[in-house]
Amino acid sequence: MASLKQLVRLLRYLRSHALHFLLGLGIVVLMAYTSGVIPVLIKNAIDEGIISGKYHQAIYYALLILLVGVLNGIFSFSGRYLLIKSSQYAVYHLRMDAFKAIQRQEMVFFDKTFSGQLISRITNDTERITRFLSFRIRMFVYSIFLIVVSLYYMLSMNLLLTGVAFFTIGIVVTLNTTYAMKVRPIYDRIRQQTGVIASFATGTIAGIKTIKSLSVEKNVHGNFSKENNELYTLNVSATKITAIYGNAPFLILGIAMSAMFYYGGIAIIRDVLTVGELVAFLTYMLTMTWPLRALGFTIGDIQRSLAAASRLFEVIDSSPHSVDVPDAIELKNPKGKVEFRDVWLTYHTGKTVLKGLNLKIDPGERILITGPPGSGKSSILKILARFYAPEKGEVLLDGVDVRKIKSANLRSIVAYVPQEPFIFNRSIRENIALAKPDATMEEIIEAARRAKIHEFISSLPEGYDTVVGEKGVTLSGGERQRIGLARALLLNPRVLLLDDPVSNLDAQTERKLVEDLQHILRNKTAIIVSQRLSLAKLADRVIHMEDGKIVEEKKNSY
Amino acid sequence: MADKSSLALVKRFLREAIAERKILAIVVVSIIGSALATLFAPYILSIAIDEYIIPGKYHELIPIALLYLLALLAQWLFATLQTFYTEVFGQKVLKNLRAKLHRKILDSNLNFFKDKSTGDLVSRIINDTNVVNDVLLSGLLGGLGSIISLSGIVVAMLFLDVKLTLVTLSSVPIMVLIALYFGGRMRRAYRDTRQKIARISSVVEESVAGIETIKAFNKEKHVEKEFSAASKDTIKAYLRVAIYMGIFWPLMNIASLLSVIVVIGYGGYQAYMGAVSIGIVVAFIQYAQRFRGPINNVVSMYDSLQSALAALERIYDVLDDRGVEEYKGLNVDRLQGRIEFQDVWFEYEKGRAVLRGINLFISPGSKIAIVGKTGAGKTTMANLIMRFYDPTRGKLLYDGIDGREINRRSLRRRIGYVPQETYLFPGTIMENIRIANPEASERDVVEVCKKLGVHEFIMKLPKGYETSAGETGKLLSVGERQLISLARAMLKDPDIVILDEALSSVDPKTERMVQDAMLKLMEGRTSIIIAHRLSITRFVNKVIVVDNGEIVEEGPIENLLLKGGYFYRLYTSQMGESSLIDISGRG
Repeated sequence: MASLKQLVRLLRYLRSHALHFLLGLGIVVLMAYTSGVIPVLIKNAIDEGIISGKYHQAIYYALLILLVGVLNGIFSFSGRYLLIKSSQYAVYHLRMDAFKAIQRQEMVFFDKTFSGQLISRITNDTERITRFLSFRIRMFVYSIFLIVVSLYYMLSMNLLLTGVAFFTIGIVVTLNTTYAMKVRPIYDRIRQQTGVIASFATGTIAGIKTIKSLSVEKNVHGNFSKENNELYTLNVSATKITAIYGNAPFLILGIAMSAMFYYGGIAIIRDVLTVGELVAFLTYMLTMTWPLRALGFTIGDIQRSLAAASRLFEVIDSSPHSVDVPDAIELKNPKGKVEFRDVWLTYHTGKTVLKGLNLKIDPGERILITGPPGSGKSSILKILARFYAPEKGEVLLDGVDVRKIKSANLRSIVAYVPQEPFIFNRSIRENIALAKPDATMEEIIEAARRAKIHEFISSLPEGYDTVVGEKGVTLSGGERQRIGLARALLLNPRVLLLDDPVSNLDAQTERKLVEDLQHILRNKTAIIVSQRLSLAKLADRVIHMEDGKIVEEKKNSY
Repeated sequence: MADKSSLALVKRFLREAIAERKILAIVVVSIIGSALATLFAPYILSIAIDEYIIPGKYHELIPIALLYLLALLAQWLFATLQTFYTEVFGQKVLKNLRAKLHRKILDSNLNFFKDKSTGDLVSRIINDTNVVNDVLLSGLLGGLGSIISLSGIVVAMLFLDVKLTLVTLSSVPIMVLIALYFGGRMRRAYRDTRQKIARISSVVEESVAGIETIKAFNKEKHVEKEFSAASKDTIKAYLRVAIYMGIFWPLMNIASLLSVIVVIGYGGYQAYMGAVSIGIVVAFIQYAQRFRGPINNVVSMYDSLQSALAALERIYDVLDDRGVEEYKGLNVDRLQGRIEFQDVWFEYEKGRAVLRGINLFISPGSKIAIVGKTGAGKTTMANLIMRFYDPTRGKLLYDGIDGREINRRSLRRRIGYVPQETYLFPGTIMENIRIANPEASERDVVEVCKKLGVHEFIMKLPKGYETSAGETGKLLSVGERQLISLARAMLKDPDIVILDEALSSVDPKTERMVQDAMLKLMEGRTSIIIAHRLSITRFVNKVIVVDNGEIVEEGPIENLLLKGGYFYRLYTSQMGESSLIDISGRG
């Protein structure tokens, strides 16, 4: 069975903690036994002590109850601790595997997948699995053994009442399982709808100026109310199910206890049952109320937990085992010669962006690539940085296919500065020193100076220690571009790939940066993609692209 | 905790919540009913044992058994009613609270948003309202039920036997202490796990959003380490919860058993002496096990009150904010489009003037361009015309009427505003354009788009006008989004248009489309362009040059160029480059 396979694979993640896990389960069995024996001890205290007037017997049993209670507490603590610990570590390994798998994925994967989905895999799904391993399994074992122990003692007291209890347990577990299965999907929808409302509100705030300038406040609020009402309705229907199915077991238990009360009373009068035994039966029913619910929820949850596990396994299995081919090599002394040989590239959307590209770039040569959007100019950079693999043809660096070069090596030779560099939610210094964490402050400042961002950084209250992002300073597109550039310059690469490096700059800064780039690019192979011809003075050659092909090429007279 | 302000907060909240009287009445009745019904079962049991079972009154057992059944049925019925109506009541209040907050955000002026992050505001709408519901509504009502059943149990026990009651209650203070000690710690430890999980998700989020950069700079190992550390922190946090819970529940359990033991010990002695009946001892054993739940409820409610108050405060903080736009004043149906700035000063923050004494007359139907460096005050002028803000000093006249006297909404209806960054609402492109004028038909939208030259571009989208804006988020460039914004403005058929040119790079083809559409929209309307590319100044009657909050030059473009001043320098430095762009566009 498929789900059994998933379970086995999941349990295998327990690894070195498997023993803890088993020990924990064993202790839970002991805990179930101690819980199940307490009603019997109370019974004995009543029958042998109180009713028969043997006071010392009553005290004896009272102390015994205390002892069992303490033991129960110790078992409960250690069982819980062991199971939580072992399952937390199991999930830790699982989570790491999934995360590493995501990191190994090709760029195509990220083009196709929403980041929200991945986050949900790694947080929600693993949470669910943890809950399953530590809580659900514990409650399952506990409940089953508690029921077994209880039925065993009941059987020794009275057959008929045990029959009633057995029958009741069956119905209640069924009811609870139904309850769990019915209410879960609604809770999922509630969670989803809450997300809808949150993103709606986010939209209202982000678009407030537009809303106000169009005077559509009423309209927008009307739509919000619709979603808000939907959430309300969902919550009410979840409540309905809880009220009906969730409370029904109490009804069944009530009827069962009344029946026990009646038949037990008769049995006492006929002298086939003692008062203590009747009390024990009633106490058993009360003791089992919550374990029965937990049992129902566990049964209702198994499928979903295993589904969560299989989603994670999918993430892990879908990823390549290694980023590099087995016989990947390292370029010891890179020169920076680049060659594209009949390169074709198609994105997952089905759009073919490079159609048989041929281009040779000598070491130290600087190329400007222009062309309309979608002509494939940025793809040239991405394919050389090996974010995408060509479906046909080869991309060579110093005569070696980039796919055959170890990625760590390739990326220390080739630095790619995207049009919108990603800035991590950390200090500016860390952001610049990304690829070279041991860089000195002087090196960082030097790189920032050359990227024309030093002055801006110095003007910030905390300078290079200013934290960027969410809770820190927000940067404009141009500032981000220049930090991205500084980042690449710090690495001092042989080959520099710049994607529209001046697109977000004002005219003045642009002019200054272009001047500086002339120094920066000296002795480096550089490929620059841009709409702006002002960059032409940087280049030895200007290439114009259209529809995935080079349509014009001219040597620069500079 | 019971200081005056928090008490006032709760009072105010409850006053507002009580609006749902009918449901609240049902809730209260069912709470009381459920508490009472819970008491009766053990009581009936004791009577049955003492007076019917032990004496062997076989025939009278049926009515008392039915009574027992009745008590249990009532318990179920009231519990069901309580579950349902408490939640319905809470959800209703919650819904209203969310709607109120959203409404408030819509009515706030732009100042309101300055010191608030989006995430924080959204969290107030979603999370804080939930906390309030869980603690103040469900919590208070549940706590009320617990207190009623606790006192009910005590009363019932007192009825049966006073001394035994006192002995049984001896475990209550222990339970309260345990709950007090562990309650807060458990909750904090649990909250800590949530934070650790949130940390994991932000690491994942960052590593996915920045994957290109991570790969480009070989940072995989580094990010992995960070993730591993975040993940290990979670384990620690969970183990702490496990320890607290692992101690708490058994302790409560033992305390509860302590009551039972005391009853058996002392009650047994009393029964042995003949002072109490066996039925009473049995009833006490049953009662003794019922303290645990209610005590835990009450204590945890008291404990979480602090966070609920904080949440409530954050909610009222938004609701009471005074940065609201007023929508009073004159309604204007149509404007000629004469705009006048009379010595207008403006500051976003006190003491830092962004506009300093602007005097400007824009005649009806004329086209002007405002140019100047970033931060010169261009966008602020547009903000003032839109009445997103009112001048700190001086006034703005529309057709000779002070803007402060005109209803904001009716004024904005007459102005077509095209911001730099177009916001697209969730929904289709059609809906996004039509939102500007709900009275317009779909055909009107298509017509407007055709007139602006936007139609063909929209038809090229995957589903044409029915393409969802969400999908296009990644598909459309800034310029293309601005085209939609232009169609929106046109559909309003406004008397005044304000165009804020997109700053970031737009490819030449789209740029020309945007420019053509802009010129179409401007025809016959008072038009104000905030120009970043000076090429557009060729099409206006007058150019206004602002620098540092003041108008430094103004006049027709030819005059300004002849003058050879500020504008001339700006123009020549940019045009060299822009003619290059034109060439590349043709190529």
